[in-house]
Amino acid sequence: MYTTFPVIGHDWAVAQMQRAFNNGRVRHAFLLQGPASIGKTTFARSIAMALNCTNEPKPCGECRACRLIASNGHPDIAIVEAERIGGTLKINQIRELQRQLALRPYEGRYRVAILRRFQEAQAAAQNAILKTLEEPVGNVVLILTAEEPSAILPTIHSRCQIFNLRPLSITSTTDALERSWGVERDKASVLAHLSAGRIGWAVRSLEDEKELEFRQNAISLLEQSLNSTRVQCFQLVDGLNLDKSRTLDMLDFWQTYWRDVMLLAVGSKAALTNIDHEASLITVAQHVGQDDAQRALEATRTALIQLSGNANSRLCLEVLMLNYPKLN
Amino acid sequence: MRVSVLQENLVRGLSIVNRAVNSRPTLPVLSNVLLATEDGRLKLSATDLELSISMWVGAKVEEDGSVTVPARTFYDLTSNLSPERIDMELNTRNQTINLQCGGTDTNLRGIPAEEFPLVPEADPNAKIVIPGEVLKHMISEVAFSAAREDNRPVLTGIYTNFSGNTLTMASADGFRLTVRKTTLDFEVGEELEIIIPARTLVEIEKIIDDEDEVFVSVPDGRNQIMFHMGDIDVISNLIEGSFPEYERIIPANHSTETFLYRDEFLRACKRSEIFARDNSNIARLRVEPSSDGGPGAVNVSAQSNEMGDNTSMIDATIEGTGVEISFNIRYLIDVLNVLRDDQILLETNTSSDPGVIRPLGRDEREQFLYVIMPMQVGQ
Repeated sequence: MYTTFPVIGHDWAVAQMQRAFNNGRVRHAFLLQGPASIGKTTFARSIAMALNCTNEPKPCGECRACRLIASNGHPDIAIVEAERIGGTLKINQIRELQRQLALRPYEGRYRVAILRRFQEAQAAAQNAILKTLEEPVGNVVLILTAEEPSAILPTIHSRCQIFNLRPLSITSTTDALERSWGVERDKASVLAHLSAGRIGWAVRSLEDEKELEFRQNAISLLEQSLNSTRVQCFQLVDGLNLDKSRTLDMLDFWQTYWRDVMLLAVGSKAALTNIDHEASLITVAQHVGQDDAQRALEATRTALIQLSGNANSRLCLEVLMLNYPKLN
Repeated sequence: MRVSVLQENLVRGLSIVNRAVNSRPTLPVLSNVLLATEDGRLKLSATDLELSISMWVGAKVEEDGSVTVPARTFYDLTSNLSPERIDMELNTRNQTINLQCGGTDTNLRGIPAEEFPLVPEADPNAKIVIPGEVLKHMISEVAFSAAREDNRPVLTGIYTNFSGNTLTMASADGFRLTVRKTTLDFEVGEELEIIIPARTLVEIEKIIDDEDEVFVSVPDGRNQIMFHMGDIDVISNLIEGSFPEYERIIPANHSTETFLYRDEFLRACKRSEIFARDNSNIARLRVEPSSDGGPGAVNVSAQSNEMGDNTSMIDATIEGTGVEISFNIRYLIDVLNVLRDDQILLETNTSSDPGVIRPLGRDEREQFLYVIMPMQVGQ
């Protein structure tokens, strides 16, 4: 029996997966799509646990296989990813993986390859894995995770069972933080809102105060830019000293900000993400209106996609700021 | 864990098991070697998840236990200790092992043994027993023609088949094929067909001693093949997939038989290789039977646009028609290098059919066959 996937949220996907496993239908390729830090890799790891667990019900979380997988130390589980967030996953890594996958499992029942952030894979790397995705030999399961579906070849999509995962609901994030990480209810609720349902970010900011500080800076930079002239905006960008992955993080926060502005502009009752900035959000919403808010949101998304490709961070941010509405 | 071993025994064991340590491991614990007490001996194990080697060395065990320590560091350290008794004691709290040898006192930090992949133990009572010398000889004659890297991983392995009283090993890389058979002294019950990575067989060949009796077993899960000899276990993972039907590649007939002295032929090939290097390794063989019934000759030649050219004429006994055929000279040198026989037979058809090389005057129990694809060259 497969029942106890250690995944927070994504109930429908987990249920679907468990049903398939219980009926003896194990697909050989999955693609887990969704925003960063919502638990895609955790989900992937729990699939690997379920496939290799030696107890009942699976995964037990206590047997040798489960423990080794949880600590990334299982000999049959390969995790392949770009060397850093915002980097590229190279074809050599895929070749090396294929060499490993050609061997039969070492101690488990399945060899599982988890390919993280597959949107960062070079086109050549994506093409190289097609053959393996199509007909892997023996007990091999490939799990791809990706944030940006558009950067993935359609030939990859068509060879995987796709799960489109969404950010968690505010309540389930709050509950999880309270239950599993022992956070007080009030603090958990604020964090859950700020995280916009990205549990991974909430947990990181619990462990590292700098995460919250970074978010605060990102939001105030945005608000500052809305009140600045173009020249001042360029100076703001110039003053930034961020690597690509941090720039992407910052744009994620900006995206939540514009979403909030848009919600307020249309008078929606949906929960705001940046509840600590409610006052300034209302001001911005009154000034820019629905159309401009939507344009700003779309511009942010475009910038995110360009940046996950090979765009220059600085130029990208400058263009983005030109596209944002001005308050004065 | 509290255990004492002799420095030379430990170093000899480490030099053997360290062959399985990969310099770029996929898991951090794989750069370590496992030390574990077992039945009054010290067991050393290392693995790269493809090849695992365990060796037992005599030891005085005072307290059982196990730990893993960085393989390279541990070997460098112990090989520079004086040839005396080494007393090892593990501090389980911080997984640090203390070594006392002569006046040397060392503390080495390790990783808990629980994180080390399970290294299974070979069956010492396995039914298949092959003399070390025979197995060594086989591997040396078949492993060289396996593909180094290939889109088809099966070609990086050695096809191995136990059937009746015959053991067959074959390797191919798309341009050449080697088939090596040996007759065993016993019948293998059920036919067994597996693909062993060539890389691990080459390591096994280095470990086996001519005098060893090698016990081979493939446990029921059939994920691994296990070799047991003396106090060493070598375990290799198998490659998934099915090997191409190589029998179909072997030419059924030939029009020319050329008998050559291996050594002379090899040196002619090596001379040609110097000039063939910048020309895709192409060398041309002209087989010329004599018109008057005497011995014929083989003309080996290669040319380089920049360096010049080279032609060697070697005597040969030729039966059949003359032929001119081009080969990748490296592939010829490879096979002539691994064979130890004095004389070989080259079977050819036309210039576009594969050639076959067989050793001559060999024990019938040890069969060898090499198929080499010709290269197409404009006249």
